Amino acid sequence: MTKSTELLQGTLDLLILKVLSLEPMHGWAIAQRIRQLSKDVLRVNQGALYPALHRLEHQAWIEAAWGESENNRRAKYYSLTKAGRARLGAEEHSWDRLSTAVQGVLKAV
Amino acid sequence: MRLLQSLLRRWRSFLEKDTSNVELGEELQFHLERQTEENIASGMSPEQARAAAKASFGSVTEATEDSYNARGVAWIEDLLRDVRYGWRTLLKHRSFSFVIVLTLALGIGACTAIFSLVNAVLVRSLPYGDSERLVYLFTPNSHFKLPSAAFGPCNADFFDLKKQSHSFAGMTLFQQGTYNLAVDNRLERVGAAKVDGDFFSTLQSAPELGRDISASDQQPGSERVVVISHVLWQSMFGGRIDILGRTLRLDGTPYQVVGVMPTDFGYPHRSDLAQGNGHIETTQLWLPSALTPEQRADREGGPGGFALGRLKPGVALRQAQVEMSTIMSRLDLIHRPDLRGWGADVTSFRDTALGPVRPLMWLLMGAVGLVLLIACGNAANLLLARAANRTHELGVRATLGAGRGRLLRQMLTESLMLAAAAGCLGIGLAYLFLLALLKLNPGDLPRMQDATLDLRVMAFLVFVTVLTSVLFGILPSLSATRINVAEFLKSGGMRGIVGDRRRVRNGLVIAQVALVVVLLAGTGLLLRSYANVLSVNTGFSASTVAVSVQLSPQIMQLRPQYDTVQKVRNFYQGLIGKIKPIHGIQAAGFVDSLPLSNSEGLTFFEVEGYPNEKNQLVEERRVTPDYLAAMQIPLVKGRGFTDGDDSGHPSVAIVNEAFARKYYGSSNATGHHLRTSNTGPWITVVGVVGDVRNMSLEAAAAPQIYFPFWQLDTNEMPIPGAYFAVRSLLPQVQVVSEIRAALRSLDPDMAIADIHSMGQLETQATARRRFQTTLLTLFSAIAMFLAVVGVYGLLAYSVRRRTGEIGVRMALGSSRVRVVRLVVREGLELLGLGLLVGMAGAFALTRLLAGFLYDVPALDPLTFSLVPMLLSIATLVACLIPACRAAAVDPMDALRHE
Repeated sequence: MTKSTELLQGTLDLLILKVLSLEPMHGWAIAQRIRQLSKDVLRVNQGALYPALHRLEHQAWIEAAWGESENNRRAKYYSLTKAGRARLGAEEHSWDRLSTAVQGVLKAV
Repeated sequence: MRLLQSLLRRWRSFLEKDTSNVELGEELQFHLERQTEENIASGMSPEQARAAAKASFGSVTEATEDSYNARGVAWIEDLLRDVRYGWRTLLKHRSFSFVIVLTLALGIGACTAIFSLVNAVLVRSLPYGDSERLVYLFTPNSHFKLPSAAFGPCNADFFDLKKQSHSFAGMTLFQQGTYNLAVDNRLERVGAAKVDGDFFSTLQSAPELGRDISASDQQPGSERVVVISHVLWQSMFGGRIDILGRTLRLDGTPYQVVGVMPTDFGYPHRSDLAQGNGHIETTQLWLPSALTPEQRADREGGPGGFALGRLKPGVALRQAQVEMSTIMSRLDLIHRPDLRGWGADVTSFRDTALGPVRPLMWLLMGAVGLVLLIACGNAANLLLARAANRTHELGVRATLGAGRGRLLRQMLTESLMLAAAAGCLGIGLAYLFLLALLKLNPGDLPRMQDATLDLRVMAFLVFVTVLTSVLFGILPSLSATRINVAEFLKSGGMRGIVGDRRRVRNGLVIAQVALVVVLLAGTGLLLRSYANVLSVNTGFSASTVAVSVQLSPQIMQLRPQYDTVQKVRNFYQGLIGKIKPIHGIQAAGFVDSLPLSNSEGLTFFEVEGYPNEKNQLVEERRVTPDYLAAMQIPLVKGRGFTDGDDSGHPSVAIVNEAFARKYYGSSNATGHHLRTSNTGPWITVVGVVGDVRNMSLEAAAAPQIYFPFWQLDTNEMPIPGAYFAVRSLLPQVQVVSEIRAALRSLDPDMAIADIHSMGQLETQATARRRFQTTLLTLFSAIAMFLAVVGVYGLLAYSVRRRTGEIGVRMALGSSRVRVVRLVVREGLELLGLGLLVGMAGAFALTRLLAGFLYDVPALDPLTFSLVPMLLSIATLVACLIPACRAAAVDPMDALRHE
């Protein structure tokens, strides 16, 4: 946990939306998936994950439903809403622009 | 829409808080367990695995709270907590809360009552469809030095305009008149309008019963129909349902009732026309004008009445003006050559009807706004004083982690609660104020009697309440929540509020004093004006009783009783002959236009041997011999009229002193000549009388000419209506009943109207001024009281806070007088600064009052020296109470207290 790279403000929302765009999953799985996909670089602090999930739910970009987990336990599954999907598109676009811009600066100097 | 959804979601989350908290716990628990399983799978022992999972998770409580807050419901909870807490705090400081609520309620109530008045008079829409589109059409002629609104178009011009213009969706021409209305054996004089078939459609008004006046009613033979007002229906017909088809008599001629207008319709009211018939307050009857073809073609007979048009949608007033000017420039050429110059003037109806009262409405709103501001200042000062006592509480909360925004929100919630309580109380006060306002009704503010606390007024009250809470709450809240936690802890909870609150409080008191100075100066000027108006020499006796008797042209045409000049003269003489011998009657005479009765006669004239201007006009009155005596208008030179001054004898006139001075250069004008047309015979001036204020008390007497009532030109019709002025030692009621009886014996169809003593007319003429002066005086009194209480409150608080210091001073040998001086000086410094700022403000602002003043300069030295004096005395008294309390401090007690 300690060595994880600090996430840029707002980036966590993007990652959550992206991960959920594949399939509905519960909080723990979201954290795991982000960690795997980032090859252990991005470790999501749970203290940040759940507030983010609730905020996204409140903004109606994701919705939650109780379901059965892989180990037959009750778990809260989050899935992307239509508005969330649109939001994801917008966030991805702006992220691309940002990262291209940053890269441009880094390479030029 | 999104906002609403979000609010609903928040509210749901808030209501389901417990379930959602349980679910949140469960969710986090699941996460922990999953992590533990994962750790076990990677080879840890169960204990290690659990510990590692917990370690990586961090604080469960924090995560729970953050997740909960992320749902955005925390503020609702905070709000409820603040309200609960605020309620307790306010209840604990009951007297404090009571004073604030009362102060604010006074301000809010007064504001709301005045707004309800403004709402009724200015804001609420007039009952004529889209009244913004209604315009008057005038055809002013620069030959005559008269206001444009006196020139209704002549009949032929009106019908040509109607035919040729494209700007109007409807146009109507109507004439005003008064009639003797007889129903069964009841007789009353009522105001009426003779209208064409487009009158009601142009006004977009329909009768509540029956039909309106249509085009077919304009045909000769079918014009004996009438539409009556709701009031008349109730008063003369007892509101009976079978009113339609019933007959009433107007000046003895039967008419059939075909419709009844709704309650709110009485067009034209007196305020609707700038130069309308002054006798008609509200119109009660509408009948067809039924113009004959000759009348319709009349171009030289003067105004055919008043023309009202409704602009087509999308047509601006200016476009209509341009179009009408073009048409009038064509029509002007077919007018009589020597009087050409007929122009066009399109005037907004709303401006005519409401324009004259707008300044007064703004004045009242402004004054009451100042009162509210001063009340806010007081409330803010009280809150600031209390915030000082809450230093400890707020400090503790800040130390425990409450952010500034959080504290601010709590303080503002409290001030909003105070304002809300004040608003509720304000509704009651507004109701009472409004009742009082309606009692003060000067009678010349259109629709004032309709002022109620309707929905719009309530919305205004809510708005003012919220505004007030911010106004008085924001300063104390900002100052109270500026807390330096480190300082607070170091000082053991005694200090830590950053900034000097005293400066804020002093600033508030200075501002209050300044506002009061402005208000007092304005009121002083109005009071001085009012006193000046009351002391005006009207030129006539106030105890004279005058009633209007009318022989309208239609009466003279239709009734053989009045078909010659001699018969009409016999009627008037008969009335005088019956009244004069009654014991106690001193003089009785007729005049065509009574002073201050909103009617005026004007005539062209030419003075022999004077460089006359073209078409000059002068006030003219026709009077019977005893009129001057009845009104006690003094004869300065020469003689009055006699019964011999009639058509068979040399033409004579009497002029007033103003006329004599202006045109003859001396008060002795007798023997000079003048004439009323540039070709007519010369008329000899036989007397000079005192000046009379005819039009208004507030305009200096203009040159005036009197002619004998019966000295008529050949073919001239006798004067149709006249006022009968009677001077007597009898009470007014008896005089009036004697006149009624005499009139009944002469002609049972004739009603008297406009029964007044001249003193009552004076009272009426000053009613508006009395109304505005009374209100402003009242507001100033409230404002001054509040400001003085403000000064007192500040000093009392300051004395209490400085008890220890005062004790030390006295222990070290300071005398009580010195202590008093210390406190008083503090108060007087505030007063001095406030006066300075206020006087500067008053100098700048009283100029705006110029239109309300009479015979007082806007920078009246007396007012501007009395106001500071009055305020100084009041403040000094307010200072002395806390000062004496300070002087009474026992040094021993004070030091022990410290």
